Amino acid sequence: MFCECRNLTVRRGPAMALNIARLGIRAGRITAVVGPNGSGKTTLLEVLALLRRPTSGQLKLWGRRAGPGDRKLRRKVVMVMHPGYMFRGNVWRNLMYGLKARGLAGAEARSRAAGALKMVALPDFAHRHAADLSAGERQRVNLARALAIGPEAILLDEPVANVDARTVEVVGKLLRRLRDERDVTVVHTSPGDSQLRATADRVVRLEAGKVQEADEPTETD
Amino acid sequence: MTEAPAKAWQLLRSLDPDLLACVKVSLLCSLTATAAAVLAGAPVAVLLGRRRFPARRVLLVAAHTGMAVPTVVIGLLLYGLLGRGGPLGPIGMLYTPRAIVLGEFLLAFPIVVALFSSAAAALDPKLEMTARTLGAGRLRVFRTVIREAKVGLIAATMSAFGRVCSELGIAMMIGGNIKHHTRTMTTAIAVETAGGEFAMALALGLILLLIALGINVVAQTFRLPSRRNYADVL
Repeated sequence: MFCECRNLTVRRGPAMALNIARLGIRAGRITAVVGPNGSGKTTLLEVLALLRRPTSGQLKLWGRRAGPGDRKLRRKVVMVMHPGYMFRGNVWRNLMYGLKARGLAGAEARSRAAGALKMVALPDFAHRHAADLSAGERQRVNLARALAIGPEAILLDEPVANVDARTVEVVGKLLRRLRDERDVTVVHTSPGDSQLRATADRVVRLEAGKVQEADEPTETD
Repeated sequence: MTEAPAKAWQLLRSLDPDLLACVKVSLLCSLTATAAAVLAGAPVAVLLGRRRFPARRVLLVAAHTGMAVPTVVIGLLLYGLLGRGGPLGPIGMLYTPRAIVLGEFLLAFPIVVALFSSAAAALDPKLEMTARTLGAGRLRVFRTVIREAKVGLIAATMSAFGRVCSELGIAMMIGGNIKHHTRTMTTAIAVETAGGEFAMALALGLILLLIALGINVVAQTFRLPSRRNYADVL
């Protein structure tokens, strides 16, 4: 099991952004989280990526109690935000960021970064400046940057919003490859009927911070 | 008076020792004070620019107010502290270059904090989360914020350096204008003009103008949007 949430709440001022009684997400599967704007999708991903501390409740990742202070666990999961932030400089610098943060350098880091660029079908983009990229290219570099660090789980916030058809196709294929060839857990969100929904093994519907429906039991055991 | 420009040019060409001594004291004090203000001010600016906490607004108002404090007021306060009867009188710092550095640090610190915190605040709110999800620890996140806002930091540094280099009140009141020891370019200009030595004052004024020009050239080089930054705007 990738994650188990019990009575998980996140408050933002007086509003309850997330209020999940029970939710489990299996490892090595693709899960789509759908719901309208403000339903708590991004907040859920932030909590699962250990970037936001829940107000109350319990979160387990791979069977271990988890929180933002757990850097070891945090390094196993990566979140691809929407729209993604690109660091100043070129694509290569962006790709190397996470690798350097893990103390990786030299040939291994270079090979991982180049491999990640190939996976998103942008093999010749290393020296392009981040600010020169189109929305679709940006999103693919954003994805490559996350893949370069070799995560066990990847959480994508609206990965195909405002991007071209080619990017939708590349991202869809990539997510299936990650699941099938690398056993990576994938969770992606979309506001409605996303073009990526077909890739999902399971769909979880969120509304006003609560799980309204999941096409398989939300029981964690 | 009419001969002053020619004499000033002669002083500059001959690298007059008195003139060079003033330039040296000025630059040493200004550079040290600015460097210390950047080192101490950058972390504070990042905190004020990127975090939300109860005293934030009060501290930002204090930093912006600090930018407008007259140099003679800083000089007066330090004179009270460092003077013979003051609480820090026994350390013997009054009328030393260290006293000037301390005063100029107090002048530069709020400039760095106020200007750099604005630049840091303008960065994308997702910056820290992106860095953290890619595995960065606190120190790397901090370094990343500094790097991403480096244009703002350079502008803040240049503004602070320009201000301390051209200030008069602090150097005069707690430096004491001692020749070859604490005499800066600005105090020398004031003293030489009062003594009728217009040539020396004019030569030093010219050097100050050149420094101001240099600072602006450097600042503009970093401020001007590159082709890549236009892409962000479009």
